[in-house]
Amino acid sequence: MTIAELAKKKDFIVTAELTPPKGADYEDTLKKAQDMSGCVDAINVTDGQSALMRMGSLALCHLLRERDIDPVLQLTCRDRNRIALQSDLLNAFALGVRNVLCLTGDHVALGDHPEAKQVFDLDSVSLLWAVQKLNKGVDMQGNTLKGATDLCPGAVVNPNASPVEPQLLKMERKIEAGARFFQTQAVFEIFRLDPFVKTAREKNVPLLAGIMVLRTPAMARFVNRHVSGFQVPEDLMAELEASPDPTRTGVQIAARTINEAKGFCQGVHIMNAGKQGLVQQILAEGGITRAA
Amino acid sequence: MMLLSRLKPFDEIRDHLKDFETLLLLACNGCGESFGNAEPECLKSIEAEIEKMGLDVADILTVDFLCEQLLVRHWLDHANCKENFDVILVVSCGIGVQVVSKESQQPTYPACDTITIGARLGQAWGRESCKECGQCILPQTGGVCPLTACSKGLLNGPCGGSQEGRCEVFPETRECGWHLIYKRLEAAGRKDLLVGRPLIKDFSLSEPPEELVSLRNEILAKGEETL
Ligand code: SF4
Ligand code: SF4
Repeated sequence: MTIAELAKKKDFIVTAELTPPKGADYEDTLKKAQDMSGCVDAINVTDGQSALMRMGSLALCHLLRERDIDPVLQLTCRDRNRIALQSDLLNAFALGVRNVLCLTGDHVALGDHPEAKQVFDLDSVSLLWAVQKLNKGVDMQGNTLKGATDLCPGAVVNPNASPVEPQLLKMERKIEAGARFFQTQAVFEIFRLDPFVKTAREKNVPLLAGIMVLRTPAMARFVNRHVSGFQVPEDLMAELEASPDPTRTGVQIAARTINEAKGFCQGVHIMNAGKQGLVQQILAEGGITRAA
Repeated sequence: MMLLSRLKPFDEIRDHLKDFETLLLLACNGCGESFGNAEPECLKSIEAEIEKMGLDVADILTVDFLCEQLLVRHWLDHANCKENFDVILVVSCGIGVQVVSKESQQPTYPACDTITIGARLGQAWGRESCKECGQCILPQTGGVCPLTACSKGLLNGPCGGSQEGRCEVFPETRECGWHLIYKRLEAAGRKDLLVGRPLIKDFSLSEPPEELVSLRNEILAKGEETL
């Protein structure tokens, strides 16, 4: 089921993020996915996140579908021009993938191939617009397609941006370009979502709050340094540092944010839960139970 | 000098200028002269077209090298003492337009699409500010070019990563281009330009068409004869 359909049926949607392996062996990755599949509605598969070269999103989405898990294909504009992107959208549709999260993508300077030529022929907004076109049975150039797609395009907003207005305007632009759901960048202070939730409600587009699991103080410091778009607030850093069991504390922090998001957003999107079993723990702690 | 720019269609220029009354036509005599857009006859015909749009042309000014920031500052001071105008139309490459836009109090619009800058005279810039894309969108972006000012060259707003006006990719050394654009459009009361249908570039326009190349060669040959 697509995220947009789910939002109509359910009070609270849970998605989680899965990172493809750096290499050809996907067994562990699939195991992680199967472990958490019982308690999430869909699994996002990242696409060269942080500009790190890995197995592609589409291959894993397909493997997930074979195991009856609903995937969200993440698609970025960094590595492909508009021809390749549209072609990949058709590929995804052919393989039964319906949810597509349209992203600009991280700059190559941040990743493990800083010498690469980056593309950015399109960006997140024009990619959404391209999906809309394919759904109408034409390509970006207006050529008629043999068979239209029926994809459900989604997008990301960063509630931590400062100033916040340019992000809000971009959110509007994304909705106009066809975004049917939002998954936000990680938030630690739920009040930051206020203006975004307001826009999402006005436009009737479901919004899932991004929840990041901080497993250790070192990891929190690492994301502060290397992951763009947000900072872990100082009081949470202190809480983690003072904790005898930081992973446990990280789970509690995530669960707290989930509780705050209930009744406010249409769901949550859990990121960076890497270790097996963490997503289940966070959800159980956050009071979200689901038949496995 | 191998600069190539092409006048924008007057329909597009008219669209940009529709809310203004009095215009300063500012042309670059540097590289522009080798292509001809800043030639007196060409400026006269631009003036005539502008007047047909119902605007007054307060003055026509040609400056050697609009990429020279100090020179631009000097001539704009001079023009502002002499005339009243509420908008500036710049006949130059995208670099000149951006320098004028930085220095001027009035909204500044490009008259041309810059297609190629094979070599460059005038002040050397620390960073390329025009990528000669052949489809100048400075009117929509507050006179700051997103193709060069944004590390990813994004056309439809900032990525999520900018913090306090710094670029997420190079926070120590670069401002976020989209933050600059947002500030400019906010000051100009044109935040409406930040929403709406996405901008998608036509990259075929950055290839110089044959007729422009041969026209340039003709102009260059003529120049050599008179030397
Ligand atoms: S949009 Fe930028 S790259 Fe294109 S012509 Fe204008 S200044 Fe140059
Ligand atoms: S932070 Fe600003 S300049 Fe840097 S890539 Fe993002 S939008 Fe572009």
